[in-house]
Amino acid sequence: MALYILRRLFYMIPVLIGIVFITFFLTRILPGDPALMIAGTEAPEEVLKKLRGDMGLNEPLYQQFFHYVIRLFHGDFGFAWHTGHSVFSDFYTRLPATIELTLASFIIALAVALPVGIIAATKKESIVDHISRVFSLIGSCVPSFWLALILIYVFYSKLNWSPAPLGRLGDSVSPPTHLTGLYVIDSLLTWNIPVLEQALAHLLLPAIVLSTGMMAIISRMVRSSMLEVISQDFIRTARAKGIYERSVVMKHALVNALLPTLTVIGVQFGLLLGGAVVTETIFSWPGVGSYITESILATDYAPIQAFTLMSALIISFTNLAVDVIYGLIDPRVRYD
Amino acid sequence: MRPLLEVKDLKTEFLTGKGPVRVVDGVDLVLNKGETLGVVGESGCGKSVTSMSIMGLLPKGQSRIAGGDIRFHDQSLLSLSVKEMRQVRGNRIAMIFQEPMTSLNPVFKIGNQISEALRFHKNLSKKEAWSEAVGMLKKVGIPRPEQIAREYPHQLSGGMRQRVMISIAMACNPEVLIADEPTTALDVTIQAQILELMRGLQHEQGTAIMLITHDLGVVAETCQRVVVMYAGQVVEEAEVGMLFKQPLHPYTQGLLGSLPQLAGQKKRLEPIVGSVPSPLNMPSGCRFAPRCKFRTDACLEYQPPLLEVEQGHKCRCILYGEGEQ
Repeated sequence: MALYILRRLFYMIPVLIGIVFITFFLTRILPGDPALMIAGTEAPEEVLKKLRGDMGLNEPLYQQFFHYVIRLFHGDFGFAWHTGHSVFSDFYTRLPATIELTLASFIIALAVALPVGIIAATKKESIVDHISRVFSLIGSCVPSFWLALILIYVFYSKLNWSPAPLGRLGDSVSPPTHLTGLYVIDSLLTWNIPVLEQALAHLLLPAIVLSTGMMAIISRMVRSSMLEVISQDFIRTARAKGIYERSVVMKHALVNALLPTLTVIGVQFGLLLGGAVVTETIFSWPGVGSYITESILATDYAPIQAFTLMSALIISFTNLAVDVIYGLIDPRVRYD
Repeated sequence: MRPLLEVKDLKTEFLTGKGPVRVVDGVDLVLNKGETLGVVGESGCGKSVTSMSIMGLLPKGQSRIAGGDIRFHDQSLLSLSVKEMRQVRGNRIAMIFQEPMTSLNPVFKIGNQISEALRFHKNLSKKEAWSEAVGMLKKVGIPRPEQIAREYPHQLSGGMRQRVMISIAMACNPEVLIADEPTTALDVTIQAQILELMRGLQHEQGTAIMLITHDLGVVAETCQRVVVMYAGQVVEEAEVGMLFKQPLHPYTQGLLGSLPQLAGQKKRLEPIVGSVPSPLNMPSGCRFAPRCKFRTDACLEYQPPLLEVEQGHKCRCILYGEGEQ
């Protein structure tokens, strides 16, 4: 197993090289002049020229690429012109917010999708099955920005149940002591109830928005793989043992049904990061998603490249994790 | 002697879009303590549905028992609550299936799959159940049982898996074992081993076996009594020797005629022409009439009852017992 993981990590290297190459050149194709963005449209030509020279934009592309790769090897992801910080320090301050949001929506998606999928399969054609079918249809076709606006309109503007969609905490409290950077966890660890309430209230809507697509797809996947597994011979064997129907479904069927679902969960987890870009922008969530939107609008190359690289890494590691978990659940799949 | 298991006039229906379809129509079976009863017939004649009805494993919402009774120790199984039936199923009446390759859960260890029923029915601890499971594996002739218990189904051959299935079924020491085509999917040499194993266990534990098969060779070898089923009904019932020596029903004769004979003079095999009628479209008279060599006009209209033609030999055919009717 360890050998397998090592080999997979080794295979990631060419993938990453490809990603670095593609993102670098794709970013350069983007229209816009970074120097113009920094100095402003009124800036005289000499200033722009000097700026371009300072930023290394006058070098030929291959040289810029070479320098970029060298810097990457030194752990230097470049400088974000539009914030005035290094990309690394920007990520360091913003990443916890994104992790909190994606983890929360991942948990919400699974917590809803798994039971709904199981019930829809075991009580086929029941009310739960029909309702879940309609909701997952809606969940998978409604664009998240639209859903976000509707939820904000209903729960903030009209009902006022939810706080304003402006960041992670209200003005009345200050962030909890920095332990993990996830406000919910930090406020729990320091037992700071007012902050905990605020953090949860602010987290809820964006997390729901981000989770819907994943929730819809996973619940359908759980349902269909449960249905397939339940018709198998070994389920009949399990029933013939006279054990509880509950154990037949939750043990014998579910473990087998989780296998195909796991692959989908992995893919969806990777997509969460992309979804976070939209959701964070709408909810002014100070994570890397909204940071990347700002960077793109400012033609700020370094953060875009770093973000793409990070996404690729996360997706690669998710795939690896899925394969490893798969091997742990299914004895027929063994990596040696 | 009171029979151990008695199926009386069982009628099982499948609910389809076109209304209920009766696939088992008035089946009577008697299984006595310690005996082996063969249930024979072509595919689709209702053998498996009968056994699933006994086990209470018919798919819910898609099927129902429309009439008759199933009595175990003179207690109706149909009147038991779900909870009470769970105490019987897998514990006092156990079942093994045709497909050993797919009948074991691929993601659990063999030992756990055997101990599951033991833990549930006999209230054994995890450890006790495991050692009991290893003992069962040894009993069914699996070499290195301690090691095999820790392995997964895909690591075993078909014959080994059927042995595991038998050890699951026999783990709780059931009074009745329903074996639905237990050897059909296996090689001939393995078949003989499995039958021998079942016979040995029966001898040791006093289990009554209901052996469902379409293989008359298996029946001749293992059973004391045989029930021949056709299109959801019993058409003949006799002691095994009597049935092979003097089959009465044209269908039984046809089945025996389809068997290749090694000894004696060589005859051409005589297949039964046609196939089992669909339960959606049953002949109104005798159900075998459309395929019968001895068909008369009366057969097409009159449905004969199952009559005791001689002591211990019942047959459902107009050729025997027109007089009594």
